[in-house]
This record gives sequence, structure tokens and C-alpha cells, in this order.
Amino acid sequence: MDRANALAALDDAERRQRTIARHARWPVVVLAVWAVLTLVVEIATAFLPGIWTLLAVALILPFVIWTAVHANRQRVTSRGFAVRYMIVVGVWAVLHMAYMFVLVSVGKGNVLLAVAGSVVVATPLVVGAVVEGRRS
Amino acid sequence: MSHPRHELDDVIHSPVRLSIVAALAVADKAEFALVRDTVEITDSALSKQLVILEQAHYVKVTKGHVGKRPRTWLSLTRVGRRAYAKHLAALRAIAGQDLQ
Repeated sequence: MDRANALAALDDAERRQRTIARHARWPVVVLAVWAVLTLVVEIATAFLPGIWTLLAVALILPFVIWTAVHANRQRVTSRGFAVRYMIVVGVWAVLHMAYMFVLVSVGKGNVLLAVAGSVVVATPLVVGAVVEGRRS
Repeated sequence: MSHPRHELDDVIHSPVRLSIVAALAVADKAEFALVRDTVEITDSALSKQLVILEQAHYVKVTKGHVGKRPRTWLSLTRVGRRAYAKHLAALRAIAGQDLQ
């Protein structure tokens, strides 16, 4: 094999990888939608009274289930995605619980807390979307 | 020092098999039909190459269902990833060596 053949083989491999990577972009959309949903739900939770906070859970839960079904239907899963996704979900869950704890401690109706808290909780999802976008 | 061509993997050296392995390298798993379309070969040609890659323990083939539709998933094994990395390194060495 000479240099030209080696370069052609490397170029071909690179092209196939790019094609598959393009099909593995679906987590970007999922994580971005989840981030927006988180922003809306977390802000709403800070202002909705009592039982209405369950509305927030009612919005998130079907989305999480849909995400699992959607992921299972995809034609390709990018390398290491499962681990990265679990890290994002884990950090999101911890931040969400911390936000709920602060809300209960400080009290509802604080605009600054609601906005800052929801942005912080949505951050791992945004970071996850950016990371997945850069990988594909 | 031996020429890097000696480091080329005999199984992946075939252009079609290199394309298949390259396609699978960026994925945990990929659907048979997607790999077929990406590599631009027929079902039977892909199946034939997969047998060779499976025998070398480079690729794992898993059958399953999405809803009622049967699907076949392909993934690179750890052995396959190592072989691909080594093959790529050899190709880069060949490409680079002739530059000097």
C-alpha cells in the first residue's frame, strides 16, 4: 500500500464516520427540548400553589417516558452516549432536588430564585446538548 | 524498523470491511439498514462481510424488535475497536511516512 491508497482509505473511513455521526444527532434535540421544558416547569413550580405543582411533574414524566421510547427507536446510538446521558440525568436530578429544597426552605414566589434556579437546573441539559452536537 | 504496512489488519484491509468498521466506530450500535446505506452495498453483500467480521470477533450482531418490526443491530466489539485503531494508526503512518 502506498501513500495515496492510505490517504484514500483514511478519507473513506472519515466520510463513513461523518455519515453515521449525522444520524446520531437526535440527542441534541431531545436534550434541548428537555432544557426548555425544565426552564418552564421549574419557574412554574415556584409560583403554582399546592396541588398545581403536580402539573409540573405531569409534564416532565411523560416526556421522560417518551424520551426512552424515542431513543429505542433510533437507528444509531453514538459511542458512549448511554454513560453521558446518565451523567446528565443524574446531575439534573440532583440539581432539581436541590432547587425544590431551596424553594421549600425560602418559600415560593421569589422571582430571582425561580429564574436562577431553573437556569441552574437546565444547565446540565444544555451542556449535554452542546456536547452531543459537537460530537456529531 | 519495519514498514508500517506490516501493522495493517488483514480483516479490515478490505475497503468494504474498513467502511463497515469505520461506520460502526462512532456508534455504540447502528441499525443494519443504516450501515448498508452508509457503506453503499446490498443486504447480501453486507451480510457476507459481517460473517467475516463476526468470525474475527470484530463485530457483534444483535437481533431485536422495534414495535412489531424486526431490527438487526451491529456494534464493534472491544477487539474490533482495538484492531481498527491499530489499522488506522498504520494507515496514518504510511500516509505520513511517504511525506518525508
